[in-house]
Amino acid sequence: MTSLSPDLELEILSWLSARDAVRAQLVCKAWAALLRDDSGFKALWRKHGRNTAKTLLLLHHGVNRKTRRLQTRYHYRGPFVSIFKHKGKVTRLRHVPPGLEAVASTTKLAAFGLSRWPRLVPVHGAEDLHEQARLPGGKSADAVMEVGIYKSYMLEVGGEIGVLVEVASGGLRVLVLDRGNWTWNESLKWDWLEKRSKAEIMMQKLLSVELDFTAVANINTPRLKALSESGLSWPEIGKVAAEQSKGVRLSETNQTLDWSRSLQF
Amino acid sequence: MVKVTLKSAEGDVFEVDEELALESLMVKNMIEDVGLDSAISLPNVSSTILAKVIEYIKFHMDAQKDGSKKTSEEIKAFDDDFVNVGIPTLFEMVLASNYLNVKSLLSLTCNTVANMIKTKPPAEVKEMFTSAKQAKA
Repeated sequence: MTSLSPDLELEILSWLSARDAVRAQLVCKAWAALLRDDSGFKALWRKHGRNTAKTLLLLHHGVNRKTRRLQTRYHYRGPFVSIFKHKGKVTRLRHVPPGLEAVASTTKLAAFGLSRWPRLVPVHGAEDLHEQARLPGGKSADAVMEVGIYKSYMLEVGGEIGVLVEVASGGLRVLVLDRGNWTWNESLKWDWLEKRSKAEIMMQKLLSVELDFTAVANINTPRLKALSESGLSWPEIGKVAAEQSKGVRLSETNQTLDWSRSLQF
Repeated sequence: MVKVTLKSAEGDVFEVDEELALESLMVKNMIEDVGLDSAISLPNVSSTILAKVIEYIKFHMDAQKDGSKKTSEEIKAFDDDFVNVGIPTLFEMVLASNYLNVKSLLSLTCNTVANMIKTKPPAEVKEMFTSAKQAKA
């Protein structure tokens, strides 16, 4: 005789309370997948007349394997943003853009049509920057000094790099690197008159930045374009480009991009 | 009263009232398809489990009849006693009730397993499910 089918396991699990269902995710990966699968689980849960919303919310929380305590843990496909919460307090952040905590829910992410996150790396100094950011010319060091005062993140999409900086005045500045040329984009200011939350606006801006970064990667210099067509992955292209850029003076990189226009807000 | 013949996996024959057999939606469909004349074979259900399922349906049908003196406490006591079996048997009952499509029994057995999961740490739950798998294999 065969063992219980996933259908029957789900039937059993649907009898658990929300809290117990969260714990049941620890049993095995198959169960975790089963419990997180919205369509199947929702149907059963509704059948038993429980609080669907609450349960599903809980399911996207996690359980600390060591302490067995519930933690809020938002997990997305690809490069991720995880927020660990315990008793309402954020205990751990991983790769979270500033201000994003409030909007980091799966439903909202889906509403923004987000399928992929740009990679975000906290920057504490020059050594944390991608090698492409440490190009000759001394510009990057200045930039890092300026960046160092605030909470800063390196945002990397494809071969392109920007540094996101939370500015004290409440604006968001994105430092854009294009072929070794740092340009400040200061058009990213929050509109305080808007009723939407600060974090939500931040979110949208991050998304627009992501789109632009991808676009720039495609229309970039003929050299990078040739590299991308040669079938190299983006990190590899970044390395090759950095290698080739050695000794190139900033004055030679006269290509400037109108970011305020391309960002569209 | 019309009788229905059910044949278990081992080939044992159970004669039950039609009314009782109709509680299983799967058997009900079979009767509609093939009629009452031939025996309905249930290759997925062993004799012991089939006997238990019949016992369960019988008890609950009696309890639901008018003039039944059974109190809700008695019914609950029966249910508790009924599922107070080993985990392999319980799993087989889950499978059988799903296969035979007996909703009330499926709810009862699944709820029982869920209660077991509730009180056990994840490692033990895993063990419970894997050992049940091995026992059946």
